[in-house]
Order: sequence, then C-alpha cells, then structure tokens
Amino acid sequence: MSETEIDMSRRSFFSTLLRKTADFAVRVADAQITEQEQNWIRPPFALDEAHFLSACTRCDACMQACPHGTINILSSRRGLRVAGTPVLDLLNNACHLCADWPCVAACEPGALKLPPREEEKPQPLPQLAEVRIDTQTCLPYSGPECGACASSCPVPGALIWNQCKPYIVPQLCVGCALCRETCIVEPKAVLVRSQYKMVTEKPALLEARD
Amino acid sequence: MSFLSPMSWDWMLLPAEGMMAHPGMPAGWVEMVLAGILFMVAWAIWIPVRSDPQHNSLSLAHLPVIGHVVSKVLVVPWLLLVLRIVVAAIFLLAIYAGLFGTPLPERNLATMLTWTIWWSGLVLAIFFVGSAWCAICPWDSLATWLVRRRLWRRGSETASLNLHVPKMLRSVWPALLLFVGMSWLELGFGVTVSPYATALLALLMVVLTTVSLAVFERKAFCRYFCPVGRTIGFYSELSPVALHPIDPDICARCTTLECYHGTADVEPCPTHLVMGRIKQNTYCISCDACSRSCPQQNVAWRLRNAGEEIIQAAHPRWDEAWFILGLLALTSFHGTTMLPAWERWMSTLARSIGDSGQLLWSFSISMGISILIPVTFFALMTLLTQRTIAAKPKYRRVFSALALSTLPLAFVYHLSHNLGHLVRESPGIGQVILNPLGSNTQTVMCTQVEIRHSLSAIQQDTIFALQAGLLLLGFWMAVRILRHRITRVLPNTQAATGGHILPMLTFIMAITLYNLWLLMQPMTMRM
Repeated sequence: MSETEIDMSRRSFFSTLLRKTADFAVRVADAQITEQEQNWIRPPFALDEAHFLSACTRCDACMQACPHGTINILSSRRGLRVAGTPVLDLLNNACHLCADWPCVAACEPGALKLPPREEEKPQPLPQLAEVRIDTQTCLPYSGPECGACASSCPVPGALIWNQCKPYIVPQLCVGCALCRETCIVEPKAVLVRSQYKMVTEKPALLEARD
Repeated sequence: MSFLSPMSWDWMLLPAEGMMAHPGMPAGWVEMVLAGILFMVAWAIWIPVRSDPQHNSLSLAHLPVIGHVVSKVLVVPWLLLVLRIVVAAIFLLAIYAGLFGTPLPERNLATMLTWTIWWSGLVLAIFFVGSAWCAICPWDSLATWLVRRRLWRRGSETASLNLHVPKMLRSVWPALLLFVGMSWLELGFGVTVSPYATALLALLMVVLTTVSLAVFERKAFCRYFCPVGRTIGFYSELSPVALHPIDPDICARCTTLECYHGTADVEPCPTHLVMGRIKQNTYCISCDACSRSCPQQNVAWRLRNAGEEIIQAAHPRWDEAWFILGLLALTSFHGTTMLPAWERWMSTLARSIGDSGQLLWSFSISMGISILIPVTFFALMTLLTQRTIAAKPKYRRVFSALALSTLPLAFVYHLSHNLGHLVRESPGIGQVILNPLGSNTQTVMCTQVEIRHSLSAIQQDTIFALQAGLLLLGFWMAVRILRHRITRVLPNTQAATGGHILPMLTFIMAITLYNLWLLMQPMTMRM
C-alpha cells in the first residue's frame, strides 16, 4: 500500500469522517468566537475568549466586586453562548485599574486570572482595549484650549502633550478609558474599541446598559 | 514740523456749524511719541529676539492683607449678587428713562449712562480689572434670573433646552457680525444721540441673551455671540489681571474638575473652560463660578506682565484674527467719524450718489471702505511677510499669528479716544443722576458745555500726556508681540530677523501714526 493511496477500510472512513467533522466544527466555533469577541471588551486578565467562555460560570461575582460599576453582563440577545458573561462598559465607565484587582480576586473559576508574576516586579497591566483620540471633536485640535484629560492617565507616558494637544501612545496605552471619562466634549473625543477589532470592520459595538 | 501742526489742516478741520469740537494733541507730545516710535523701530530691527520671555506673576491671594480679602470675596456668593442687583437696577432705570424720558441725549440717563459712562469707561476698566465687567453684566443677570429662576444657586437642568451650539456657530464670527452691526447702529443710525433708540437697543440685547440662554447650553451668548463680551475678552488678553489657579500643581493633580462641571450649588463654567488647565483667559467672563466650586479654593485673581498672555499663551485662530482686525478697523473708524471733516465728506458723497437725508447709504459705503483699507493693507503685509520666510508657512497661519500683534494698537487707541470722551463729557452726569428722565429741561447750551468741559477732573495737558503714553505703550506691546509671534511661525532653528518683521512693522507704524494723527485733530463731542 503506497503512501498516497487512500485507506478505504470502513474503520478509516468513519474515523476520518469524525475527525474532519470535529475539525470543521471547531474551526467554525473559533471563527465565530473571533468575530464575536470584537464586539465587546472583557474584564482585566480574562483568558482568551474560547477558554474564558468555558471557564466563566456566569456568577456575576466580578460585577459585584467592581467598585466603579464598570463591569456589565451581556444580555441573551447576544446569543446564548455569551449570555450572562461579564464585559467592560468602557463607553460609560472607565476601568480604574484597581491596585488589588477585586474583579480578578472575585473570580473563583479562574476565567479572570492574574498571570504568574516575577518576584520584586510590579504586576504588569492588562491590555483592555484600543483607545484613540478623535481629532475632529477633541477641542485643542480645532482651536480652543482644553486639557481636561491631562491628569487622568494612570499609565506614565501613555497620554502625552505636544503643543497643547493630547496624543495617545499606543505602545503604552492599556485602554482603561479614564481619559474618555474625564473628556468634557459631547460626544466624547476619545474613541474606545476592542483590541481585536479589524480595521475595516464596522464601529465597535459595546453592550449598552440594559 | 509744519506738517504736524494742526494749523496746516485747517481747510478740512473747521468744525461744522453747531458742533462742539475739542483741541487735539499739541505738537510737543506728538514729537515725543514720534521719537519713541523711531527708537523702538531701531530696537526691533537690530536687537535679536530673546527666545523665552520672562514670566512674572503674582497671585493676589498671596499678598498679606489683600490676599485674605480677595480669597473671601471670590468664595462668598452674596457680594457679586449684590453688585449684579445694583447694576441691573440701574440698567432698568436707564431703559425706563430712555423709553419715557426727554429725547435730549445730554439730559437723559439712558444716553449719558450708556454711551458716556459705560461704553467709554468699559475699555478703561479692562485695563485695570480685565473681564470683570462680564461678571456683573446686566444683560446676562436679567436673562439668568428670567430663564433659570434662581438668584445665584445652580438652576435646574430643565430650565433651558440645553442644545449644543451648532458647529458652524462655534466661533467668534457671530460676535464680529454683531459688533459691526452695533457700530453701524451707533455711528450711522445715531443710536448714541437718541435715548429711545438706546433703550430699545438695550432691550434687544437682553432679548438676545435670554433667547440664547433658553435655547443653548451654558452661556453660549457670552462665549460666541456677545460683541461686547468678545471685545472685552480680546482686550483682556493685554490686561495685567486675570483669574488663574493659585497653585497650578493642585490643578494638575485634579481629576474631578469642579471648575468645569460645577457642584450641586454652583453653576458649571458658563463658557466651557477648565480653569485649572487654561493658559488663555480670552473666553473667561470672571463670573467666579470656578472659584466658588473649587473644593481647594484654588482660583484667584493673578497679577501678570501686561501682554504676557498674547505673547505666550494665545493660540492664533483664523476667526479670532478677523475679530481683532475688526476691532482695529472699527476703533480707528470711530475716531475718523468724529473728525469735523467726516461730516463734509458724508455730505459730498451723499450728493454724488443722491442719498436720502438720513445718509444711511453714504455712511454704510464709507464704513465699508474704512474697514476694507486697513484689512487689505494688513493682508498685503502678511503676504510680504510670508514671502520673506523661506519655509513658506501657510498664509492663514501667518495671518492669524500676526493679527495678534495688532490688538494693542486697537486697545490703546480705544483707550485714549475714550479717555477724552469720559473726562470731557462725564461732568454732566451729576445733573442727569438727580433728574434721570430729564423732565422740564432745556438742551445744554454751547457755553454750558464749555463750562462743563473745563470742570473736568483731569487737566487737558494730563489727558494729552496719558494719550501719548498710551500710544507708545501700544506700539511697544505690538512690536514685542510681533517679534515673538513671527519667531513661532518660523521653522524651529531659525530666529526672526529685521527682514522678517519689516512688513508688519510698517503696518503697525502706519496704524499708530494714523491714530496719532487722529488724536491731534480737534474732536467733535457728542454732548
């Protein structure tokens, strides 16, 4: 029997059929998850979306633990698979990057999990979202002085000022949206979207408060 | 120096019949101003620009005794409220006098108070206290009380429609338009000599303020539309006093921004400013909401170098540049219309175009020309300046930056012109206060006017000295602003040279000389 020859045995047929079907199902599920996860922003230190979905027990403990009301629950309209899972409501409330991470500490099943940390080194910050400044609405870009967001950024060097205009350094910004919270322009001049968002996609949809 | 002597201009300067004219600045002072200008021109061309001007500032809250008073005054609401009530009451009385009192302008409270005391004194007040007038402005007080129905506490959110101002209106173009319109009404339509029209204009402004407050969020009228407020705003960039954080570090750490959002009791900033962060006070109306809402009581009046804001902090903007040029053109135009020759020019023009007796067309055409001449001259000089810069910055950028340097010229001419009015015309106010409606009064005779003018508190020579000093001060400030602003337009490594500043220096000199010439002329008095 040469290597290219197909094994026509019944056992092989069924096992190949099963494997291919399973592979296909996993790929479809992965693609769906990848596409879906662009639509929301998970709480800090969430596992990757597939593992997160299987680990999260929809217990709401992280939402209860958040002192700033930043964590919301996805409604069943988003599909049964994700219904009841927590997301960050960064369009309305910023993540304050609490020092002791109460939401992570509250997560018993470990869907939110601090990565192993080297001794003597501070906990690295989680990457939450992609944030950028809308130069069409940000005041200093069109003339008037502002500076409302100047002292809002908790990450040194992530929000810098050049000629009275704010700039976000994408390499340093973790996407906590505190600058969006202090922004005084309506609609806000700081845009937030999922870090998994494809550039050409529709604007980010975040679960609104129910 | 025969050119400088007013005698050689006699043929066009004889006052029209029945008009009261006042002697202009004598040649001695004029020569002194000219010498000063020549000295400064030489300095500006030969001495290189120092890259970083000094910042000297002193918060009044840090002074020993005054500091305590200032901090107290800025935090308690009732003091400002009392002032607002008093000013609003006088304003309403003036409107009443205008509507129902005598039509003689020099006998009626409406015209005397509005044009002689308020409009003339306002510019002087900016020189000493910045935009403080806006804090007690009766238009805004009445509108606020009507719409928000609170004397001083924060009004309810539902009292106004709170709409955003449309994006196309978020500039000073509406204010510039209203300013040109008001100047037209003032000089062309003759509102200044009609108590009734003065009262109607005052009522119109209250209506505009009220409608704007009821429709738009915060105080859109003060920020975008008010011609007086914006004039005060730009002039106050030259004022040595402004509201400012006492300790900038406290504001730098602040994340709650009460100065912008207000508190449960105190209104949010009416003009959308974050007091803790701003460097430019143009849009601040000194309403003291920020000083009352700040939990750290960190906002107070600050003394600074006059002109520091416009040299360092101001951001040049296209619409603001046009407003400043409008101010420049209209202040000189204002002086031009008070020349005795103006009347003759108007009647000549009216005859040639067959205008009606009111001369409205002749006036409008002349006003248009008078605005166009300096603006076109400025545009040309900007073009020349742009040509001298190798890096070829955008025309609009050079235009906006250089327009800032013409602001002191408008301000000092406005000041010296108004000083004349205020000092010579105000002695009549005593009688008018005692009899606001001017009941049973006759028109003031020429001889009485002369007696009044001679009674003025300040000697004629002192006025000339002040006017000469102001013109020199304005020229000095304009040259300094010009040197620093040109350096900013140049590429980083380059320093401004005499060649760069020469075109705009010519413009500044021409305007100053014209204003000086205006001050030399006998001026027609309104009353």
